[in-house]
Amino acid sequence: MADIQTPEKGSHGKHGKGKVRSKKMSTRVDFTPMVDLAFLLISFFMLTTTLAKPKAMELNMPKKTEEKDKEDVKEGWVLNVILDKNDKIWYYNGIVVFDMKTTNYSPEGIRQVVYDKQKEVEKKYESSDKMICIIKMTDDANYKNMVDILDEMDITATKRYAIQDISPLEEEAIANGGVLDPSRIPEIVTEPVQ
Amino acid sequence: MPRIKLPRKSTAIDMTAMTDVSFLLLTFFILTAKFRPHQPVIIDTPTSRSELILPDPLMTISVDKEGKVFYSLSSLELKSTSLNNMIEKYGDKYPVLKNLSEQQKTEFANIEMMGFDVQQLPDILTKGNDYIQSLTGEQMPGIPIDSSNNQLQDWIMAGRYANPNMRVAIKGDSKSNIKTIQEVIKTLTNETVNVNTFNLITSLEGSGEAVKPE
Repeated sequence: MADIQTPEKGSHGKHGKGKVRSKKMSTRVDFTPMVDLAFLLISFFMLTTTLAKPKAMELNMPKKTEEKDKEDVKEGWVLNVILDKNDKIWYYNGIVVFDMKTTNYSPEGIRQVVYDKQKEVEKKYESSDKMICIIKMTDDANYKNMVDILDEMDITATKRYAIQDISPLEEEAIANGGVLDPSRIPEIVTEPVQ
Repeated sequence: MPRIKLPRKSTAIDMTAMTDVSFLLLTFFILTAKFRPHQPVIIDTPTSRSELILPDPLMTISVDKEGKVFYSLSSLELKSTSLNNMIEKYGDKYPVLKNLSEQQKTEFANIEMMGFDVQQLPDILTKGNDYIQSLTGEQMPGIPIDSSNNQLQDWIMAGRYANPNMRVAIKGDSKSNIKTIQEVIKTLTNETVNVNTFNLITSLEGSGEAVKPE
């Protein structure tokens, strides 16, 4: 490749006083250094580019001053999810902490819990859109847990969810392994679920 | 026995096709390259399947895994306006802030992520650009966010005054404790700041196929 072909001597052009013929040069150029350079640059740009650009998820918090969105909530609509340390999730139905179950972030875990709740709400109240998921976090949970649960809300198309502070009763129940002594539960007047 | 003459073949290969391909790739990578801005603090964001592109102009509140809070703005003008707003707010409390020269104020734009008490600002700005560029997360204590001295709130307000349309994003590390994030969210949603819609910066997850229930 690295050769420039010179026209062979003696074939023609040497004899006679005819026209001065311009030398026929080969049009072939040696590409090797160019390819070298191109590959060097390719590897440089490949290594420096960040193809995974950061994305964003949107979070809406309720306005503290607004009252108009308030609505009576039926106990049967509510699923409480509490994020704990070591990627553990506690969950319970309704508004009274009684017996909490644990699950995890796998598709068979919290996602199934939410789907089951959606089906249950759909059966009782016609539409699964009524369901409300209340997300609470203990102080030992990490940020990834929060993003994961918000992502689950998106995956399961749960329209109504809220982030709330954990209540002292719930903390007590967690410390007690998810069960709360019935005497500790305050008497809350709830309408019977049909 | 006559020798078999092997025809001599040229070792030269036609490189044209290879050059074509390599330059095509090169052009692609040059055009798609977006250099990572200098990040003094390493924040490993969690993944999600959200595909929203980050809005602009943007105010980013970063929380690293130790729970330190940093503040950054997307453009230089916003930085200088919000610095002036901050000086106005804190000038009476810390008179040194009022003595900042124009030169020092322009140095402020070089701070990619603001992570210290506002009264430390004059010290840091006098040390010059090289020092500012070399600042890492360990050297910055983070912006105070406790209720008695919530400077983050004032920075957010300063940024919002600079451009009311600016969106706010929280960029937290996967491992950062939820307590700090909740403090930040509380600051954002309190009655003074009143930013109730904001973004959480995440990176894209590989496969997030929803498994539909039967």
